[in-house]
Amino acid sequence: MKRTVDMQSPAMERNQRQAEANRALFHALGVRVFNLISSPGAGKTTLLEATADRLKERLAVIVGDLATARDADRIRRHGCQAVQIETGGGCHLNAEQVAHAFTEIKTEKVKVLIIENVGNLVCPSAYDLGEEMKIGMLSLPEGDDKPGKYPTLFLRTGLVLINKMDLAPVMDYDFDRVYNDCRTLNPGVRFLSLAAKTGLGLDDWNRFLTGEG
Amino acid sequence: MHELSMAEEMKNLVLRKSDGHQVLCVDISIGALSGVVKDSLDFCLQSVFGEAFGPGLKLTTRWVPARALCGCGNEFELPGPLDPCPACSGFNRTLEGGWDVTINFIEIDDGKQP
Repeated sequence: MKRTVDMQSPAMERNQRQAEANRALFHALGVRVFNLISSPGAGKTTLLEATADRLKERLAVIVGDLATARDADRIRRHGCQAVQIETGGGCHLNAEQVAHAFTEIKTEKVKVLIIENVGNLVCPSAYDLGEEMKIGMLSLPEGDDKPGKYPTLFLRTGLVLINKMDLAPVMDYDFDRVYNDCRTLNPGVRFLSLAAKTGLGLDDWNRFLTGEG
Repeated sequence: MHELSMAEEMKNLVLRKSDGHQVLCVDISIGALSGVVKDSLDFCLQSVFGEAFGPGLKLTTRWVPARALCGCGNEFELPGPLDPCPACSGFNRTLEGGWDVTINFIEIDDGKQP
C-alpha cells in the first residue's frame, strides 16, 4: 500500500549534526569559535600570525589547505597551537574534519579557536563547522565588487574584515559599495578595517575575539 | 555547488527513512539562497537516485524563492539577493525562507494490503 512519509530533512543533515556536536563541545569548553573565509591571498594567515603574537596560548587555530602544512607551521611560530588539515582536493572544510582536528588541541588555556578555511569564496559558505560566526575577509587589491558577486557567502557572514588597508593610498576602493552590498545581504553585519602587516585595527580585532568588543 | 555529494547524502537519508520499502516518489525543495544550482542537482539526483531506487522513481524538485519583508511593509519574492524592494526601491529588509535544500517527503510502498 502506498504511504506518504513526511521527512523535512535538510540535505546537509549529516554535516549539520556533526556541526551541532562541535558547537556543543566548544560551548562546554568555553571556547569561542570563528570560521574565517576568504579568497586565497586575502591575508588570513598573516592576520592569524599577528593574532597569535597578541593572544599566545589563548588562541588555537585549525587551518585547511589542499596541500602542505605551511600555514600551520607559520602560525605556530607565533606562540599558539595550530593544527593543519590537508584536504587533498577538497575545496572547503566540513564539520567532521574540524571535529577530528580539534582532538589534537590541548584546550586548557584556549579561549578562542579560529578555523582558517580553504581559500575560497564559494564552497565554505555551505558548511557549518560548529562556529559561533562566519567571518568573511576581503582585501583591497581584490576590488570592491566581491560581496555582490559572491552573495551566498556574504548572506551568511556576521563580520566582514577589510584587510590590507595599508594599500588604500594606491587603490581606488569604493568602501561604500562594500558596506552597502554587505548590509543589503545581511543587515546586521559588522565591519572591521585591518592592516595585518602594520597592526591597524588589531586591537579592535582582539577585543572582538575575546568578547570585549 | 557540490550537487553530487549532496545527492549522495540525500540518497542515504531516503534509504534510512524508507527502511527497506520500495520508494515511489521523492519531493525536494531547493532554496534560492542555498547556493545550489537546480539543473546540476537535478542531473545528479536523476543519476544517483535512479541507480539506488530504479527508473520508476518519481523525483520532484521545487525551487523555493527567497521572500523578503521590507521595512516599508511590502512583502515580495526576491528576484536576486541584491535587488531592491519593488515598492520603495529600498534595501531595508529581512529575508525569509529559501536558505536550504530539504527533502520534504517520500512516498513508499509498505507492502501491506489496503
